[in-house]
Amino acid sequence: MSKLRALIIGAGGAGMAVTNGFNADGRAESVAFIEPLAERREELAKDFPHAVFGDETQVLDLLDQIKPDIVVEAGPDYLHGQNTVAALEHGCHVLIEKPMCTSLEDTQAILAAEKASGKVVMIDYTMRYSHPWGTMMLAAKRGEVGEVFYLGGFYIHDMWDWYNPNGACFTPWRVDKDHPQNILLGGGVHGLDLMLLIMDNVPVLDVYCLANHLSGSDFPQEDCYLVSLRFENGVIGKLFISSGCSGSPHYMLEVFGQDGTLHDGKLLRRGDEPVELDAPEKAGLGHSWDITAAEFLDVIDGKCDNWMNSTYGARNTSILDAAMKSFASGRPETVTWF
Amino acid sequence: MAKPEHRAVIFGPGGAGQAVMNAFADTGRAECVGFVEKSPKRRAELAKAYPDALVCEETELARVLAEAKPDLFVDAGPDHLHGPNTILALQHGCHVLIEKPMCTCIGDAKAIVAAERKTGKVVTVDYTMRYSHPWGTMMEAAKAGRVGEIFYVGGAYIHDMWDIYNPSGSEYTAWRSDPEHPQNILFGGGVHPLDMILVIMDDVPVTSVHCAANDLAQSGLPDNDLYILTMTFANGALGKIFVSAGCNGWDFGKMLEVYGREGTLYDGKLYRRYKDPEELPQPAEKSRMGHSWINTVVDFLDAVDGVKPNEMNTTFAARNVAICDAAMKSIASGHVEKVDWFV
Repeated sequence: MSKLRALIIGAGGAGMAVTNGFNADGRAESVAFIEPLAERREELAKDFPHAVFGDETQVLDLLDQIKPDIVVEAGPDYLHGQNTVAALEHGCHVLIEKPMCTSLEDTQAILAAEKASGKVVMIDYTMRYSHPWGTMMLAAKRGEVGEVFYLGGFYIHDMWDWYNPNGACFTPWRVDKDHPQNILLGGGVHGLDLMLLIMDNVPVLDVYCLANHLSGSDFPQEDCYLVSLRFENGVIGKLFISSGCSGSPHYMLEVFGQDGTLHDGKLLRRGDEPVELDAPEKAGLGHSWDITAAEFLDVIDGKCDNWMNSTYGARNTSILDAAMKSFASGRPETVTWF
Repeated sequence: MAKPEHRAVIFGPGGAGQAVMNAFADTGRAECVGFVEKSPKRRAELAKAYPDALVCEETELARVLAEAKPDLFVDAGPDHLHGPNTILALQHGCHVLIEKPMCTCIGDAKAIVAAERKTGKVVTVDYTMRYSHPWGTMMEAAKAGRVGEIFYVGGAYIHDMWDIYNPSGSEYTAWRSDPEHPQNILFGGGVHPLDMILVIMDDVPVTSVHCAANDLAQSGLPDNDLYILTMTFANGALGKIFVSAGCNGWDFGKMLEVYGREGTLYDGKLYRRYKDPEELPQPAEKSRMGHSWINTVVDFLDAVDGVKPNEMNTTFAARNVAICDAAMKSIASGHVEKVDWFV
């Protein structure tokens, strides 16, 4: 059986992790890359001598020329919307590195294009397979804390090395002066996705968001966000994001329910000793691109449902879009629910 | 042994009140000459243990103050009575030690500050967590500049209070779940981390707050038992208070986190870029794992005796109450509310 042919947009950390995932799985191969850095394109040409390369202005050219089966969108967040729509219009299945996109308008465009094309759109929410955060999410979904009354999501990540030219993981697009990454959308998306999964289909009614840019990081916009969420059933949620912190105490999720509390990989229950949750067989310690890349191929092959689907992606983007509106207006904002 | 210098009346000799009574006895600097207590059983116990003291029920505070002639008044009773009781005690010429919160509305806060000013007496609010480890230790580290300029401070009061709220619980405290005047746990619990946040932020005003709350935990408290309060400081720093008294199985913890330009304080550790987390050492003296009434009572007596300044003063307390009061208004209105800042 011939392999599915993939175009990778953004051959950085996530894009190459997915490429490696495809290689390990054997059902797909990366045959083309969009990469803005000439030096990086030269490196890639050595490793992928039969692949085709282009810069960020050549997405449509490569889609026309290569006619890939799959597009992996792992480039700058603000381009996810337009590139995904273009890929769908070219008949491709799309795996989007989170976030799905960065505005409500792009969300609506992706949903419409997905519907028109009948192709698979999957958002790469790798934290669903992480331990202990994904494990805690699954425990909450199994009902181990009973009825949930509060959830907290966090993205606390010292990104100095990503934001600064001297940093070990410098990623220029994140600090691009014209289109810097919005870290509420780029980082907060992880904790929020876990929260939305736990809450299933309970809508978020409104959000209130505060933000600042006082950490001294070289990031050219807000790098600290505090978001309160109100669910329709009265449950309250919270997101805290800091990418300018110095040092990273690591925590991503907490869930409070009537029968127990999930915190830091442990299940707490009244009168009992805390129970450390066991890591499931299918889990990674951090990002789990190998798992999600294989799962994307399974969805395309009809072997499993697409649980990282565009409905979750759209809700996530919509909540964070409302949060940005709240930050601008200084008051709570209503969420458009998908 | 010399007779204690000070004479104290205790309103609400329960957990906190008893701890203060013990500290008075340990220091030998104050004797208890009167008690106001709702429970007949507890009144009988007190009458036996303190045969020379006046022991009365809660409607008789004015009589106890008039007859026992204390110079100290300790209010460790229901939170909603702190305001009127403190003012009455000040009018009777007493210095007052108030178990946190100072009071439960901004009107009472203004009245206490005015009465304190008029009488010239000392009012100390018993913020025991300032001496706790690791939370008080983290507060001191932040104040000492170990994280540099602060851009975010978070406080939490996460305390499974089922045993305190429910008649079958091992620490049942009737007044807390009183249907008419249940304890407001934002004021009663959130006050602790909020105090440390205000100490860290010094005189930087909180300009506005937003607050969400619910009562879905089935805790036994006939009121909201979960609050998320977000705050904007005048210098742009952000703050958060998270309170859950209905959580299942989490008994006190994660009370403070401080994010600064040069480091992060979390769970008793100092995090810094490229460095291993540093566990903050517990100070050899004057710090405890939980409440530190012995230290705060000595502070109160020292302030009364003019030995040292009153660091747990009404300015901090009034700001604390004003923020929580604005938070309650925010829950009611659904909007962001301004904070009436005390200077």
